[in-house]
Amino acid sequence: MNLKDLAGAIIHDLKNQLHSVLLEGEKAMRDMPEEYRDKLYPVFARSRRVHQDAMQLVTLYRLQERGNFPADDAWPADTVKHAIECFKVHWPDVEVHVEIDPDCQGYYNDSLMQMALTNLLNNSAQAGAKTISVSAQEQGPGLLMRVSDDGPGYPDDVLDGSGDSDKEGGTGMGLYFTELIVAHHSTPAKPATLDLHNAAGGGAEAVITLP
Amino acid sequence: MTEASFNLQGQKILIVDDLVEARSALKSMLTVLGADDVYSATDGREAVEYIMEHDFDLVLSDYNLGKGKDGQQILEEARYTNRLRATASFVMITGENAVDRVMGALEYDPDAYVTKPFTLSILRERLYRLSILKTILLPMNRAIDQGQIDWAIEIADQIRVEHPRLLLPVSRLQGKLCLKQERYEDALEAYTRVLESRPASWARLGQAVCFHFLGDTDQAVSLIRATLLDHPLYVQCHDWLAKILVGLGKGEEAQQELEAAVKISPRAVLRQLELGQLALTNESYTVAQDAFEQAMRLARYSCYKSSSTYQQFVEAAQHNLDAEQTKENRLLCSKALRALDEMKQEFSGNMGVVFDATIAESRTYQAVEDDNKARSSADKAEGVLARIKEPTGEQQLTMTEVYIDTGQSEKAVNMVQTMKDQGVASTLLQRLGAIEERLSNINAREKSAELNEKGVAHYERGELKEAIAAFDQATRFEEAGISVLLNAIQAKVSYIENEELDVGQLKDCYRLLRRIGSVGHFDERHDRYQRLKETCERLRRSAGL
Repeated sequence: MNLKDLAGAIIHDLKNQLHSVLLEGEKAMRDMPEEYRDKLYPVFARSRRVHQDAMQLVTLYRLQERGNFPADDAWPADTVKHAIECFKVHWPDVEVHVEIDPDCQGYYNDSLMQMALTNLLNNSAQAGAKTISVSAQEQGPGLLMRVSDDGPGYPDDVLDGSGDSDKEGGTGMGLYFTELIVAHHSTPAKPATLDLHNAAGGGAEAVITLP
Repeated sequence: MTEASFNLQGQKILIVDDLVEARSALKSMLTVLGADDVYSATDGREAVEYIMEHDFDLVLSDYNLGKGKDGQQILEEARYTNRLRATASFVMITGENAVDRVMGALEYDPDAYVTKPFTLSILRERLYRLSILKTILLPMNRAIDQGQIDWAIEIADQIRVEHPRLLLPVSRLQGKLCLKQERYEDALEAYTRVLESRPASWARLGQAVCFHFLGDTDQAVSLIRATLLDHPLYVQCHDWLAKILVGLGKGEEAQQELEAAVKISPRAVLRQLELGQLALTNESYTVAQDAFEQAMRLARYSCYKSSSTYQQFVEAAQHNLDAEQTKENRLLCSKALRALDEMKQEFSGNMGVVFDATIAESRTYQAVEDDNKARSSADKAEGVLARIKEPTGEQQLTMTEVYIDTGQSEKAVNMVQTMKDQGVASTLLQRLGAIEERLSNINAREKSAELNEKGVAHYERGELKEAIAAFDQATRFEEAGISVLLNAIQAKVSYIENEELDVGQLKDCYRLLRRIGSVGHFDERHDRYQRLKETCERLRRSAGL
């Protein structure tokens, strides 16, 4: 076994352990009196963050190993909701507006897309945004998802593709990971795209287009 | 119903997970969702037992259950036996590594799957979406449960028109049903419709399967190979490719595909059985032995348990056994005998199976050349056969073959006679013919040996003419062995030396020498052969020939 595979196996195990910790934690939180919940919450939030990072690492590893993440019918309203749940654990004060029809339907890998969206939300919050809007619409057979914020916008080196937008506190995988996930949804007929730009009225805007 | 009011109250639910924390976590989530009738199973065996006893509305099973059956096998047994109604739901819970395995199944696909890790709200939404889908599909699934498949296919058409968003799940179900009804054109249409808007792998495989049944095998093979390039772990592609290749008479290639499939997913009984049978026909006995051994182990507690699996395992093992006293041989031999003991025990009420097992036991001993034990098992088989009220012709023929193999040709002759008196089915005539041929060969060998003995007796009394006459008769049988031929030469040579130079006899000697051909240096008869050959040479020269 080479070092890379060993690392992969360890991260995989780490992620599973953390998942058990979280499940136990969630159960404990539900059962305990309100006043203790606040005390345990930061521990819980940090654990979830570590778990998310481990998940990302595992996924990144498998994406690079040409692992198969099959697409299926999926509902952006659900996916975005779960992405926000993950996001809110660390950024409880950032407001997120969602504008998605519950029946709006897409064809993608739900777990992957949820990670991509969580990443974009984290990105905005790290850049200093206080309000983020997420929307999704069907476009023929395809899907368009938009994440926009009221922050300072993407720096130039990100917009021209020469830098990484991740600010301190991030894991350093940031937009690269999101790009990989989006690219994974390309079809031979039509590519899936991630378009980053700054809105005319200020703020960053990321647009994901799936075929 | 809205998502907020979604409730599982009153539904009979089964959860399956081998890990206690996962089970209790899932159970408490379901309780939050209103469930009040939840059963839990810790492994596949327990799960299938529950499914056989109860009518569940919803089964939630983890894919990976440690040892024993996996979630996919539970699903297959539940649907295969029709114990889980089409209107009921099966939700597969998978680690992110197994999603593609779960999603690919054409015939037994779960109604929904949840990828781990999941939270309460993810589970709620999945189950809510599933309940909406199942409600819309209800008339179709009811038709399936009533066995009215063509009617279900018609309803599917209506649902698809009314609910275009359900294109994928409806077409998938429709394709499956059309395949079942052998309506391949219609199935092809369903899969093609999906592929026009979504590049779903299962639809590509479905298309290929339709092409295969419609006779366009090349198209089918190239489509599956292309799908495998994208998804090397798509195990059902290997399965179908194997099936198609077998049809094309490419048994070896088919075996490779099944071996690849078994490597990816080793726990499916039916696949192991198919591989075993294919390898047996291909004479790849090691592969066959492994496959049947796995199948035997996996099927032990499943609906696929069958005596023929045990028998085929032993049959494959016999080919891998020989008389050498190696550790491998001993181990394999005792493994085969253990399998046969288990077979006798598990099916002790069925004398036919006990007979088959006892016969296989005798043949296993034959394979390691333990003649005494082979004979005693044959005797046991004879006893079992006597207890079968109306033995079939096949059983009688099998018994006859084993009689011959264990050196009891008289019993074999009697059995053949009994069978002929009773009348033999036309399907068995060929096998009977082969047995009779073997018996007549044995008979000839015995006759030849008898004449040889007679010749030897005359020779020893110095009655050379009589000896020659007996040996001439003995050597007329094709089955006469080298010793008999040498005896004949010896008698003729002695006659020429002692009585008269009979050129005809000398020519006979040369004919017999040619018939022997050559005798190797290490053969104990080599010296004698050489000596006689030289004597013939000398006699030829002195005769001036």
